[in-house]
Amino acid sequence: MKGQKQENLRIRDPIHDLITFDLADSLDGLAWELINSREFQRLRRVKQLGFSDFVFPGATHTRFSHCLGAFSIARKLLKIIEKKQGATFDRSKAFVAGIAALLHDLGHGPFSHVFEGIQKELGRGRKHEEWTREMIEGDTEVHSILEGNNSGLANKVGLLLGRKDPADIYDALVSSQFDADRLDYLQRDRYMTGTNTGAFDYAWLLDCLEIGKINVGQEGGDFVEVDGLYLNHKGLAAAEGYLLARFHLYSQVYLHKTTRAAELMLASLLSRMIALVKEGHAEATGLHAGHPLLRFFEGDKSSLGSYLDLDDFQIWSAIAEMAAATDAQTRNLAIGLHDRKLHKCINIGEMARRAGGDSLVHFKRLLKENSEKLGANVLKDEVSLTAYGTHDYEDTGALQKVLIGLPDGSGKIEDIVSRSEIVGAIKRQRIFRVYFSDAAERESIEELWKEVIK
Amino acid sequence: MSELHDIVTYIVALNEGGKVVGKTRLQKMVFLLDQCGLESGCSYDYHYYGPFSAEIAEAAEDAYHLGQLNYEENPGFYSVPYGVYEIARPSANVPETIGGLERRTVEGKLNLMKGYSAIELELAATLQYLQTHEFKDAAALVKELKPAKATPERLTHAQKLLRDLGL
Repeated sequence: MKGQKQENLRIRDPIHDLITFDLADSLDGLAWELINSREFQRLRRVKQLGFSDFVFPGATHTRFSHCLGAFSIARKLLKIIEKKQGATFDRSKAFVAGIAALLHDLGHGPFSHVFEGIQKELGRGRKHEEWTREMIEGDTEVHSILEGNNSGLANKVGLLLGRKDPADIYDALVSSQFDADRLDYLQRDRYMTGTNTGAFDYAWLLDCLEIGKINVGQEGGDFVEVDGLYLNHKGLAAAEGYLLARFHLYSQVYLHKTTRAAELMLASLLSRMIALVKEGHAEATGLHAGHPLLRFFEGDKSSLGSYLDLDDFQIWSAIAEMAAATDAQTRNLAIGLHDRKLHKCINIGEMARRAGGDSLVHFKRLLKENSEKLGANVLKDEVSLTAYGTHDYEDTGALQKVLIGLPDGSGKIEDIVSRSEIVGAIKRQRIFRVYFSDAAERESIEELWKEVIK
Repeated sequence: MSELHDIVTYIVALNEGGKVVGKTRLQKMVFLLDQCGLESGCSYDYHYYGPFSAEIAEAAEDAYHLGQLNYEENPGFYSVPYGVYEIARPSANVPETIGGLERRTVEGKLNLMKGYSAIELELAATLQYLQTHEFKDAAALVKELKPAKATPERLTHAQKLLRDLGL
């Protein structure tokens, strides 16, 4: 590194203790340069869990610390892969994967999923992964550092992060059930929220990792074979703990009803702000002209520059300004968020589960038909939760499952769901909540439900 | 205008044998039909297997709860299950118009898709998704995004399907 003494640098981390960087090592040296880039430093101002600190006050950790943790785990995973692969270990691919693990969340915006939803609503649906690629391959400090290290490296890292569908064992480091991202956030989010559920045996899990050829496709149909990670039979209990940890974090933390209330209110606030601007009433939002939030939503396409200007601080400053808006809907939502006076909800999904049959479908239809009458303050939260997280809509192939070797020495592997009664018992849950801001709205929602079950 | 769970039910009903093998296959079929003018109203994001809509998944589940579709899971490689949707009432009335397409057009397009594997449908849908998102050389990008799946043969098949569908 230019002008810097070649030495070991250290970062103290609550999860991984010391994360050290040996500047004489090519991977560590480049990682350290990237950490000091403008775009990576921005992650210090983006909280990992958005509004979760409304429920868990300790959960104020940032994307910055999570990315450092993911990099630390990626190095450990690379060592495991190197040991298992021996002479076939590909140092060049390993290097790209290590850097990709460090940069995997670079494109996360403030309150990321709320922002993605709003952009989608506006027809410019760009997810954080796309912003990450643009930051890596666009006119940024990160790009200059990568290209300065090795021409074409930015493209390789961007592609690996864009791939999602793992093509080899190095991809598995950033996109698989045992990727560095998950292995870090499950531990970090648990620790920082202070929740005592969701622990798993990390060291044992890593020690049981194996590499093998995994078929992707359906029996009797077209399929491909790629290298992937699985666990040997001694890892069964650790794998159960790992999946239960994820399930509990989703149900107890990420999908907590109060956190979701704040997210829905912010989404509603931003929607209202955009509508007012479109109607030519920007002044009614309470935001001063030129606020970064207004700049981001200006025009047909948001620029990378305006995206980089956004962080949690900008959103909170916007909320404070909007709390004095002349538009009542904007003002009420902003005050609610600012003072943590959040909407309450009725858990219709749970009521429908008890009522059985098609009651949820009928309620959804009634809600849709009455949406105008119910008004803009009635907000809906719909999500499905499974043992693997919130998405189980596609036939997630073997590479997205936790696979376990059989103890009989046959070399065969199986989905943990068929090997573990505990994991197999976790059924898909459909969460459907309806949020309201006052007693009258609550009554109207209850009336709709009564109509369903009468 | 039909509700989305009805549209999904009609598509399953009109597909070969009144069933669709694989949630991924169902997703890609609806996506490609949308590209042909189905106007289902679904929005798509890029997921593991290319364009994906949570709304389609929810609608298929609604159709199951309404008794319009049957659903079962079969074990695939390593006992990883894949889903099979089947029409619950074989005599289900499919209207002459489904969304923005005529019933016979939907039948024709589904007939074209039936000879293709789920991976080829995934590649065709991904190509189409990238093309509509202004990526200049979508085929080259698909090769880079899905190097194991995008063999020259499969990619040629996927491109042929898109041409045959008029996309």
